Amino acid sequence: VNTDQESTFESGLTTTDFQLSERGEFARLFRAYYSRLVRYADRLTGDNASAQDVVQDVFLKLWEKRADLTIESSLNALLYTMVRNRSLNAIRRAAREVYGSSLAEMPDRASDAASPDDHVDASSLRTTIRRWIEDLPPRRAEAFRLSRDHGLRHRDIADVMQVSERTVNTHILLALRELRQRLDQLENKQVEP
Amino acid sequence: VNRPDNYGVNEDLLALLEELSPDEAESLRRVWELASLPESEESMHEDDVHDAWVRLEQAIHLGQPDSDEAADGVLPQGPAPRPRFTLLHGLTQQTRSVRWTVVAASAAIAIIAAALLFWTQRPVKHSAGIGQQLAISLPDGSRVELNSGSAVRYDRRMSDTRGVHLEGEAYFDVAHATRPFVVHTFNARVEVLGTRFATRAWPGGREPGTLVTVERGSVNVVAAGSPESAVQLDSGETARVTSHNGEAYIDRPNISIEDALAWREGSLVFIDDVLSEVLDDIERRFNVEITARPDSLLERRVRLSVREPEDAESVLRGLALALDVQLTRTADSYLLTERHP
Repeated sequence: VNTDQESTFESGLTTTDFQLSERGEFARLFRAYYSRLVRYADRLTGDNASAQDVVQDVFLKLWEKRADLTIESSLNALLYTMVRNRSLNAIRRAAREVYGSSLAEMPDRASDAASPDDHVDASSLRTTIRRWIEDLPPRRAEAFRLSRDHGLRHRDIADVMQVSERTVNTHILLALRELRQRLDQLENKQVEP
Repeated sequence: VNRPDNYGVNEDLLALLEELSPDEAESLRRVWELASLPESEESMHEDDVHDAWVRLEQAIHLGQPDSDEAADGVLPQGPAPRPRFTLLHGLTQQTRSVRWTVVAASAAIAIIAAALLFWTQRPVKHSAGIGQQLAISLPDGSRVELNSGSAVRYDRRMSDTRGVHLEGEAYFDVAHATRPFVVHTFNARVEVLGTRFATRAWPGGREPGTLVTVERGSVNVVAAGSPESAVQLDSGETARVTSHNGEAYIDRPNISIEDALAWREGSLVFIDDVLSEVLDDIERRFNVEITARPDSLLERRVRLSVREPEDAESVLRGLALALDVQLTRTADSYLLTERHP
C-alpha cells in the first residue's frame, strides 16, 4: 500500500523550487492543500466556518509574504504550523462559545462500549475505530491523525506540535496500542456467545 | 478514485514497528490499516474548494491592485475579508511621529526622575527555598504564597503601578484598588484589579510557559510583547502562554481550580505534564535528586495526583507505577529506568 499516495504536488515541490510568485503555482498549492488544512483546522476549532477563515488567512499571509518566505523544515510543517497557531488563536478569541459547544458535543464514552449486537464488518469496524480515536488524549489523537489522515512525517508532526520526534513516536505507538486493545475486546466479545 | 487522504503504512511507522515483536507489529499494522479515514471525512467537494479560491483571489486582488511588489505586506482593504486572526507577533510596521523639541525638554526631567526612582525603588526579592513554601504580604496589602523554589521581585514602594516579577509558581490574593496589579513573567503578564489567582511560570524546562488560573474575580493575561493578545479570564478559567519560534500564543487548557491550587495544600497534581517537569517539581519540593534514563523517558506525559505526600519516595512510587517504570534508590538520589521484560 506504500506506493505513490503522496499527492503529485508534494513530491514535485521541494524547498528549492517553491515558487509562489507564480500565481498558477500558488493556485496549485491552494488546491492541493485547502481541503485537508480545513479538515485539520476544523478538528482544532470545532467550527467549520472559522476553520475556513483560518485557512484562508494562512493562504493570504503566504501570498503576501511569498517574497521573503523561507521554509526551514518542510512545506507540510510550515502550513500545518500556521494553521495550528491560528486555530489556537481562534479558539482563544471565541474561547467561551467554543468551549461550551465542544463540551456539549463530546461523545458520551459510555455509549461507545461495544454492544454484543454490533455487527463487525469492515466498514462498521472502521467507523468504530474512528470513534475510538476521539477518545484518545487530545494530543495523542492529533499526532495520530496528522500521521494517518494527513500523511505527515513524524519530524513534521514534531515541528507542528512543538514536541520532540520521540514524543511523536510515543504518541503514535500508544494510540495504535490503545486502539488494538479496544479492538481485541470487541472481537473477543464477538467470539463468545 | 484517487484517495489522497488515505495514507498507507509509512517509513516512520515501519521504523517504529521494527522494534516490536513480529506479532505485535502485525497487529498494530492491522489497526493502522483499519483506521483509515471514512469517505465522508475526505476531501471537500471541488466546487467548494473552487469557491474558496475565488474568495481568496478577490482578497488578494483587492489587496494589490497593480503590481505584486507594490502591495507586499499590505493587507487587503475595503470590502475584502480582513483576516480575523493574526500572528501575535505581528508583521505590521508601527509609524512613529516624534516631536524632538518635546523630547529634548523632557530629557533632563527624565534623568532626574530616573535617579530618584533608582534610590526609592530598589527591588525587594522574596524566594521560597527548596522544600519550603513562603507567604508574604506586599506593601499594597496583597498577599502572595510562593511554592518551593519560586521567587517574586517588586519595587519597594509599588508607587505608580503595583507590579511584581515572578519566576516559578505562586498564588496571589490581590487587595482591591483602582491601580492595576500586574504580575510579570518571562513571557507574559497578568493584569488584575482585585482577585485571587495562581500563576506558574518556569522559564526553563522542556515546556516553558506561563499558566494562569483564576480562583475568584477576573484577570487579563497578555503575552509579552503582544498587547493585542490579551485574553480575559474569569473565575475557574485557565490560560497558558507559550512561545515558539518567536511567535507567542495563548491557549486554554482544561485545568480545574482545585488542581491548579493543589500545591497550597501540600499536594502534587500533574495533568498531562512531561516527566521532566514533574521531576523538577518533586526535586523543588523535597530537595532530592532524581535521574531518569533513557532521556526519552523524560518526555513521557504524566497524569498523577498525590494528596499531601510525606516524602519524595511515596510520590516516586506512584509515578513509577503510573509510568510502569523501575524505581531505584541510590546513595543520594533516585533513579527511574525503563522496565525490561
